[in-house]
Amino acid sequence: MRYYLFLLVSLFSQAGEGIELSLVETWTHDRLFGGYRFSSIIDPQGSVIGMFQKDPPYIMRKDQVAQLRPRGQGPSDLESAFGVCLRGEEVIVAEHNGKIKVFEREGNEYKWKESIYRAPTPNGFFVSDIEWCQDRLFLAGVSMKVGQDGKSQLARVGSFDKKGKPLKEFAIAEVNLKNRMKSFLYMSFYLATTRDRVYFMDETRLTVWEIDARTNKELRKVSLAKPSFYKPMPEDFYDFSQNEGPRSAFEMKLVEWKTGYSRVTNMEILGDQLVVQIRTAKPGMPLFGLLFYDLETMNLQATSFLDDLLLGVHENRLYFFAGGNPGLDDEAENCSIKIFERAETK
Amino acid sequence: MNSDRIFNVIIVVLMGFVGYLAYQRLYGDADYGKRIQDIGRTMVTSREGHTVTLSSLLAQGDKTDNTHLLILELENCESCLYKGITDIQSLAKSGNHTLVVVVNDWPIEVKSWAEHYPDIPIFAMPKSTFYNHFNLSYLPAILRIEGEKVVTHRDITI
Repeated sequence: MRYYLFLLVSLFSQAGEGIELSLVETWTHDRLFGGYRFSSIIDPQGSVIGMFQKDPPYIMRKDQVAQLRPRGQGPSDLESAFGVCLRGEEVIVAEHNGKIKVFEREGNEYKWKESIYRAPTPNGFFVSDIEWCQDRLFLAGVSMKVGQDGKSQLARVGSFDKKGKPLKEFAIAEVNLKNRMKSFLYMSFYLATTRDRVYFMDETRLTVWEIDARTNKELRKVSLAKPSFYKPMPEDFYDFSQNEGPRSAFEMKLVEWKTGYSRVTNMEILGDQLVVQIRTAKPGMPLFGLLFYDLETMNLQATSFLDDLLLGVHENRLYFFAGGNPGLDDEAENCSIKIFERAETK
Repeated sequence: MNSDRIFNVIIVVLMGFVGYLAYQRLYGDADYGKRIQDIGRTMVTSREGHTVTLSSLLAQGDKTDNTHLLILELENCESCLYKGITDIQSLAKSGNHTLVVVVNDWPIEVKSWAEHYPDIPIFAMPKSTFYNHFNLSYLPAILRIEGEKVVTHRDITI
């Protein structure tokens, strides 16, 4: 009942075109995933490749769910992974410490092609998402610079050449609170690309950065329109100074931060629209709101509501993990992929 | 009489302690010499894929020649790797003989990583070689080797 109610709300309350999502496929597999942080893509064959925090990368198809590569330290193996993206038909996986592996498709499998190493930096780069655009590698995450005066800077996007040499940092923020530094390691950051543009968002607010991948320059930073249900994260989010108790108490707090506000849970490009998924954080509403912004004007065009976590887009289809995030939402226990097709209604 | 004997014993003990401290100050950790065993037979692989003994890469010449060897794993903390490489570059710049050995079973991985440092001599060492011949509890570390003997050792931490 509430689906229909909010679908009606989404179709008629937003100015301009409406977006109708129709469920076209559901894949269900007996496989559990864990951990709230995730990275995922849809490959050119329409398979989901991704990983949740506590698992290695998996490939999910209609008839099968399997590890993308065996676990291990060899060139063709994968250990802990933090981000996945496409480079044409190839799949790129970011592992720890600047190790980036490129896999090419051979039949039904992905085989190792090459490893790219990002040069080590003084304070490391904690990767949350990765994209390849115009022969450049873009990483979203945290690169910290701790200053002598207590003030610290952090860059949330880094661009690198195709050999992993650092080129430029973007979305740089000043951080004054010492306790907030660690908090950024718990945050999620999102990248999405068009042919020559890179878009970046962090989970805390509806602000998007647009970068020209050809010239490696920031083009604009846009504060996106907020829907009526939007519940902003408080300024002291992730403040560790308030959490000196046992770790379990902190973890409870973390779940509250992750689910109790309109946190950005994913961002994708679908045709000429920027699709941003946020939590509604309102009792009685579906878990997530799906916001469709015009990529050129950044105007909010439509909103849809779902209980499923957006994993990626492919052609005109949107792929979701049913029930939400397995690390945060009780309903997202088993691996169930829902595929919706977008139809525009005038 | 008894008090004189006690006084002498105390003096001897104190002198022994002072001597021990002086030895430690001059020669450091007694285990240094044991940190690499059979250095002459330890094999490493160059970026070009040539296998050579580690001893053939060490500074050869008069007794004052020494080599600073950075030994690391690609999985070590990123800041520590950055610091280790920066220290090695600084040592090389000031005229020291330097080497970098990456403990990794796949020379092709080491070659990819080493592309960022074309001017540094970087070699790959199999993990089995490291565990059989090296007695280091922490990596990365910089060893100063005189001839084939480790004389100082420093863990690279942040």
